[in-house]
Amino acid sequence: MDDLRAEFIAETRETLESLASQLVQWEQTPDDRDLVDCAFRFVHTVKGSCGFLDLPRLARLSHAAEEVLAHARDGRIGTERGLVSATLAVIDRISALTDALESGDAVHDDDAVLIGVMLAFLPDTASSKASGMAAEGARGSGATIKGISQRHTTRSVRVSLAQLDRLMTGVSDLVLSRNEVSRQLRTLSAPAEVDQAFARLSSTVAEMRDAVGMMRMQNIDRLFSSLPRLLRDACIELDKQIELTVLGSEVEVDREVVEAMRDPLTHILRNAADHGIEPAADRLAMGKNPTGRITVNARQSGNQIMVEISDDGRGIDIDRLGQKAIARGIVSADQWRSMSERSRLETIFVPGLSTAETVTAISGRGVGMDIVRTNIEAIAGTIDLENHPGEGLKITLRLPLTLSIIAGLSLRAGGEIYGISRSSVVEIISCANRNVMLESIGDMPIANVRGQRLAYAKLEDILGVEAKAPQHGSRALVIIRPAVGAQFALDVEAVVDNEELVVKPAAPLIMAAGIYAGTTLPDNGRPMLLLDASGVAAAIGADEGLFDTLPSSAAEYELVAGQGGFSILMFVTLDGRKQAIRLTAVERMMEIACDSIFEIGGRLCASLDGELIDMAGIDERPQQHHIKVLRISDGDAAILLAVDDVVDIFSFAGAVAPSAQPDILEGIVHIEEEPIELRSIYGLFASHAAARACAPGAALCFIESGNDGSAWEREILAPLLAAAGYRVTFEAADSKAADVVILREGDGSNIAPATDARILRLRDAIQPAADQPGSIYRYDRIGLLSALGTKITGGC
Amino acid sequence: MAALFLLAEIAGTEVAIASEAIESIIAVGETVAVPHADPIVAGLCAVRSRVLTLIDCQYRVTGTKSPTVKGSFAAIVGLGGHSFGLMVDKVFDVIPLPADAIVPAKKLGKGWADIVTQLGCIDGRLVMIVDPEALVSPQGERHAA
Repeated sequence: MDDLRAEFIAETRETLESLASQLVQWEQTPDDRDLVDCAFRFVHTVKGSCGFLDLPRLARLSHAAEEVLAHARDGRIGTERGLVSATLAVIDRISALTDALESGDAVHDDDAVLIGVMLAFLPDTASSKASGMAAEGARGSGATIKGISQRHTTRSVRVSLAQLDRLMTGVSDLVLSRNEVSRQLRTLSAPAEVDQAFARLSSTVAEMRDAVGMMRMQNIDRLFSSLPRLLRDACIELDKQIELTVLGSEVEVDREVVEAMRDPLTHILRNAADHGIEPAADRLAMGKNPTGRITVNARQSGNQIMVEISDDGRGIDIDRLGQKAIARGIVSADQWRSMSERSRLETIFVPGLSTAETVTAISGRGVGMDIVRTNIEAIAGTIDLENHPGEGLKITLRLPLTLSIIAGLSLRAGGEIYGISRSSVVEIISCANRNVMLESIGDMPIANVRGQRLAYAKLEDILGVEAKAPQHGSRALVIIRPAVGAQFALDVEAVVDNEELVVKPAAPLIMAAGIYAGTTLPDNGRPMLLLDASGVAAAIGADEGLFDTLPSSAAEYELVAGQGGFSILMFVTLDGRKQAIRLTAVERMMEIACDSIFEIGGRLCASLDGELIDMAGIDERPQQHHIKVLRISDGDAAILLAVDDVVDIFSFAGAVAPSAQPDILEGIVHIEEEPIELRSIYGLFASHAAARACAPGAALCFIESGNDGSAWEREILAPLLAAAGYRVTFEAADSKAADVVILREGDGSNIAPATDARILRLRDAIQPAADQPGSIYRYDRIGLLSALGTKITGGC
Repeated sequence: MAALFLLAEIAGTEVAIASEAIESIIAVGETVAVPHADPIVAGLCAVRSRVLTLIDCQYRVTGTKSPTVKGSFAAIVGLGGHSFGLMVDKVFDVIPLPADAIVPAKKLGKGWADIVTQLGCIDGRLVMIVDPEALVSPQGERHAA
């Protein structure tokens, strides 16, 4: 029975969530038969379930609504606004009762009133229709909804989270044992068949891990579907006309992220409705459409999800914000004058500041944007504002797709490895770097990094473990910006690796220490503790604003960096030279085993997780066991750049001097008065242009082949084209869609001269015959490929 | 109905742990220390893809840390969504204990009092029944209770 009841609660809640937007739409178009049907089906289902679950209140409510909606459905009574509002009230009550069913709380029982209002719409009691309660419904909402597409239903089954977690654990076990087998295989030098079979197994396991990861994902629509209702209520309360457009509801996000986003998004939307959108009269006076417009747009970019909330309201009045901030003593008038536009705007995130003149029930209580930012940053997200005074405000939230996998940095301290979320790491800099000075005020150690003074501590001291001498090179300073607290500098023995970590919560006994965020199990099978940046900040005592009053040259520096500055990573090549590369292209730094490096087709490739990746910066298979590499990505292909060691990361703002080898080097940069070669990423990919698997969007070549043997076309020509990245077809049916049609004109027996501009003619003889103008010798690879390229780009 | 209990030794004393709570017994391999954690945490270790929090049961009882961690036996229990390894000196047997052979525990010495609430009568001996949940609860809570 309890199971059935839990099932009922879950199902009702789920339906309610998906129904919310349709109900608001119904309010706009009360006559829409489909929407009436939706509401009817819902109350009908609820009624059916409560019958055998013995839930009399719900049964009475749903019964009344069902009866009235049945009439409306059959056209026996009109669907007017009052009816819609009354139905909404009943559905709200059903929702409240469902929640109460779970929590065991009591819900005030005036169901009879709701039922009375509902039944008043029935023809036989039409006289009582004008009852007082119905009047409430007469106030329609000013919200219009766009972009809610008809839901396409996908078949699904309900699986408990515990089951899902078991599956996850199973797959993680599988990955670990695969790694173990892979280690064993390497020492055994197994025959090629075993290697191949293992590679297949390996890629299957990898696919499975991804698939299981996706299972935890949820459609962001779960979150978005509640927005129209929210805005409708706000519109009624504020008496404004607002049109909401929701885009990108199909984006999939981890369910924890969905939950974490709920409050911030609600708040931002209410803010926009309340402070952003002006009253209709003001909008008319300004020549704007009296109906305000709010757009919520979600999209996935890489492993992040971007949610943009834009309105066409009045935007943020910077001057008024300044007056407020000065009046509240948040900044001084002097400071305000010297602040950049951007930092002025960001004072909106300071606690206790709100630009609203009056406090309304919706927002403007002065708690708001600061909480929003804290919530977003707590899940490693960021929030950005784009203000157009008088024209609107755009708020962009960037959030990780999942909370259980983070981009992590592993740090060594006292012989042990600890992880930290990379999103909180601002910079890594060598302690030997001349821009770093360690000072102290009394007992308090301070790191001075390019004039910026930061609280400083050795990780070993925080952990209370004994420091060991670094294995090579000098110690590193990791500059960390926690979600709560001020930036600080953490001195560690070494930065070891940069990898994706699957975070698992740690036991309360461990979390109680206050400096850990969880545990993780990297591929080597040795557990690793994850540090919590905010916790470590608290342990150091890096209080917010501790060093704000210190004279600092940091502002000046940041200004320079803002003007076209970029981050570069400096490394030592295998032949001992210092070089640099733009950090944005570096996906991760890692160590790979040298027995996974092969010489294939005259190139060195590394086999990683069943994928072959070209190697650069290395000429022959190295002798040692492991080698450090930088994984460089151009967005879709990757190259591993072998390095001897990674030196440091710098922000670079100066000019890049041209180099004499533009194909290899982007130029020369001066770092601490030392000229360093900057590797050209373009050059790397150009010289290692691996044959890409042809993408679905690649140009299609149709090869005209007779019925007789077309072995040459199939066995020799087609592979060449495929290797060059074209799609190839022999099907006559595809010839219309093809970008190029290739004709081979055998011994001159001419095929009817086609006027089709897509046709590319090949001939067998080296010298063109008189009747074969514009044809290409079939073994002229370069001529053939360049002619193909010309055809496709539309040249003649 | 007789429930099953694992007989083991903690700090030189024979104890019983409800076997229902125990998933398996392992020999502890490589461990990772957890600085600043509650002192009853002996470290982390991996069992396949799971990370166990090792509990030094001896420390819980006597206040003296177990000299060795690696190689000692640990009973894996899952509590509150986390996996713990309860480190014991020895593992003897699994025995059934009928409900009438279990009596409430009274007047136990310091250290035992908050992790043992019942005694079991086995072959005429009284054996303390250890509550795993009490074992893994933070020390602060223990004093408050």
